Amino acid sequence: MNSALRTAATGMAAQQTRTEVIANNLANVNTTAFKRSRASFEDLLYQSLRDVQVVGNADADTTAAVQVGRGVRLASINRMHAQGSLEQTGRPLDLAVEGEGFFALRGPSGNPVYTRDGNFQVSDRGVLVNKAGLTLEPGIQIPDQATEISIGRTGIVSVLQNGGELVEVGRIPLVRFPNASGLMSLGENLYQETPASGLPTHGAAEEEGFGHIVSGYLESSNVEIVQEMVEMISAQRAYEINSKSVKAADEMSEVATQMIR
Amino acid sequence: MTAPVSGLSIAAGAMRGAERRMEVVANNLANVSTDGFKAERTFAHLLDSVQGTPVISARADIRQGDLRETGAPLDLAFKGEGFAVVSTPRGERWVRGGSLTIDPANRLTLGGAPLLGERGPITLPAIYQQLTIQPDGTVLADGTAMGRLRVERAATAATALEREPQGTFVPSADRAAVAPDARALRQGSLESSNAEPVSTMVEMLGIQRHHAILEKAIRVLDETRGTAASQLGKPV
Repeated sequence: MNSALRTAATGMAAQQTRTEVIANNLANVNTTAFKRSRASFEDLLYQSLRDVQVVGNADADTTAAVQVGRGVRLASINRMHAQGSLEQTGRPLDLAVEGEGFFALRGPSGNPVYTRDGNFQVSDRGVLVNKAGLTLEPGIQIPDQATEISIGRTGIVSVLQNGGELVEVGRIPLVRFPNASGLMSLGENLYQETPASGLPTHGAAEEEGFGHIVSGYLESSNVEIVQEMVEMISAQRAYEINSKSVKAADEMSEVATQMIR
Repeated sequence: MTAPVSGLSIAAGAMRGAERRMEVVANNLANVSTDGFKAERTFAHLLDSVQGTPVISARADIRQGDLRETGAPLDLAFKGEGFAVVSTPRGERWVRGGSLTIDPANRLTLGGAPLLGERGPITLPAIYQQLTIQPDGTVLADGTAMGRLRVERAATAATALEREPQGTFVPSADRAAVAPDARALRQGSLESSNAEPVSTMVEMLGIQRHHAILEKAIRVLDETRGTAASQLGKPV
């Protein structure tokens, strides 16, 4: 009887985790380039109470093994790397990737980190950095006398010199992964490669397998409020149902213990 | 001649059976949002009419769960019969779709185990733009066939399947491949659990009532014995 209680408790814990994931998605509905997460579950160990048996005299008649499952556990929380819609900002250094590809940045400890959030700035030393000051890899130097910066679909960065001539100063590369859902989130819209994501493939916008860069736009969050609300309702109901099995199992053991008067 | 079995022990055995069924129902309810989960159905049967106590068996109900569209290219669901085959350290196992991943060796995996195609694991090229899985299980990377998934089922629908964690089943002895034109794989969808909350709750209530009735039966039988013990011995 206690095992029914424990099984129901695993169900409640799973729905709790699911609600936490949904709450985080909803909290990030306005986060640039945020990718929604989805919790997925798997069933737990099955306990065999009785093995396959032969019934009666005919050898062909067998009954199935009696197996009782012991609940559910979190299998994974996957990020869904679907494209978010592009939001116009008009700022030339706001970049969105339409299609596959991440911007590579040099992380705080020198290791490469990746992002889809293309809210870039020119640092005091004239290089392109993201809003947290991490350098875009490879460093693209913007000359001091540049008056206007423009970034093309393929990631080529051009500046207008004071003489009025357009000079190419570099090209923003993109990186893609065989399994982007396997990337580890570091917060601040940054991701890190893991064995699950596979090795990064370096390339550039509009090359094979990569999307293109749109200047003057930012990618918005791919969270859809309605979808998350429906998920939340379903998680809440499932939580409630599992609490009912806790109650039912408890009442049954109460009945059993009341037999002795 | 077989020794008569007392009503008390029959009722106690049936109570244990109700508790067993409750455990199965609790597991179904715990897995209402586990993708690809197949509910366990319990049924009682008499192994021996003299013994009186029914034996509780459970078997996976492999009916279709609802498909829901996710749009993720690596989500794979099965419509109709059939299981995908994965290679686990314990041997080949059946699994009813789910969220695929790609391992460092570029193989398609499900729950960490490589998915098997007709010619072994399906290895994708290092760079591709689009992964397509056709309804018959053919995996295409940018239009080039990388292999066709194995889809199998038990030859007879009545075969009970042994379950393992992570939604896997041990292939039955009478496994057979599903013909390519009879397959209906859906890329970008997931199959929801087929544990239906409302009917499972109703089942739970029924079990609870049954359990309470058996308790009542034990009480009545006990009172009868009490009467026999205290009244029969009295002088008239």
